[in-house]
Amino acid sequence: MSIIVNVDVMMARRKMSSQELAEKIGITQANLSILKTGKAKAVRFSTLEAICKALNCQPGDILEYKE
Amino acid sequence: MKKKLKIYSTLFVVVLIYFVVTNLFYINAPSWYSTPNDKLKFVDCPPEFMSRETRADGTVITTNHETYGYEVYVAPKDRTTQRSLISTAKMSDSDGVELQTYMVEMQKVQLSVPASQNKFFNTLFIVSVITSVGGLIVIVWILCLVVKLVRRIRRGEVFVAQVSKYLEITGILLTALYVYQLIVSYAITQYNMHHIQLADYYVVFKNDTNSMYIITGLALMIISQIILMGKEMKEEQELTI
Repeated sequence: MSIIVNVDVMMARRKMSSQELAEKIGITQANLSILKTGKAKAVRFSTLEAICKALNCQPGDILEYKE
Repeated sequence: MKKKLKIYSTLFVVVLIYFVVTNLFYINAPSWYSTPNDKLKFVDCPPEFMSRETRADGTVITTNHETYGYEVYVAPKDRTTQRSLISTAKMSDSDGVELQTYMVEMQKVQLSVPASQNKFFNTLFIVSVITSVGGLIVIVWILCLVVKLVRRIRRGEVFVAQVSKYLEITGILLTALYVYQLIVSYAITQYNMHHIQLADYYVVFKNDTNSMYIITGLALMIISQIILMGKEMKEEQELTI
């Protein structure tokens, strides 16, 4: 898929662990792993909102389009 | 996947229309018997296989030769006299004569083939044994697939690729069985046409293969593709974060 999820980059910038982020946004670590590895087929707006809130960033910082 | 679904559903609709149209034709047929004088004018049995003797007192003695029973479809050669009434028009023509529509209909007859014709039956026996064994193998295969399918479903695995595959193979096998039986039936009719000579009738081909095989087969093939679509939707749902 040409949409790249850069959650791991933002997590590294914010120095936040997977467990901490998963707890903050209310999803399991397994689902967060799916998101990070790019296996996810879709992201709910509510999840995106929670990620942006937890990482203090914009949706554009997390999602990227590459041809 | 969608291409397959389109092909299967188109085939299903075509087959269904074919059977509906041909069955409608035969549903209307029993109305013939409301007028006894217009019944089919077939003789009971072709004369080659039966001798009739009329006594001086007028009674007819019918003697069947030593024979094997053998069923074929026949149609009369003389289509002008041997016909049956299929419908009566309500309108009358200018002379006041009621218009009637006639058609020639095939009829299944029990032929009594002389027992001396062993060669004829030997060939048919071999063909029927091969057909039966082939059919049995396919049915056992289908049963194995159904058992596997039921096991999966009992484990709660419905929208998985294996279930779709089992259904598709079962459908293809059922459809193939129908086509195979149809071809064998046609081949036997061709064989009969060359070996059975009747005075007043032609041996004709009539498709009497069980239509449920192909209808069920195609329906299963469509369901298999629907399950595959369901599997994709399920995966998408599971991978939505």
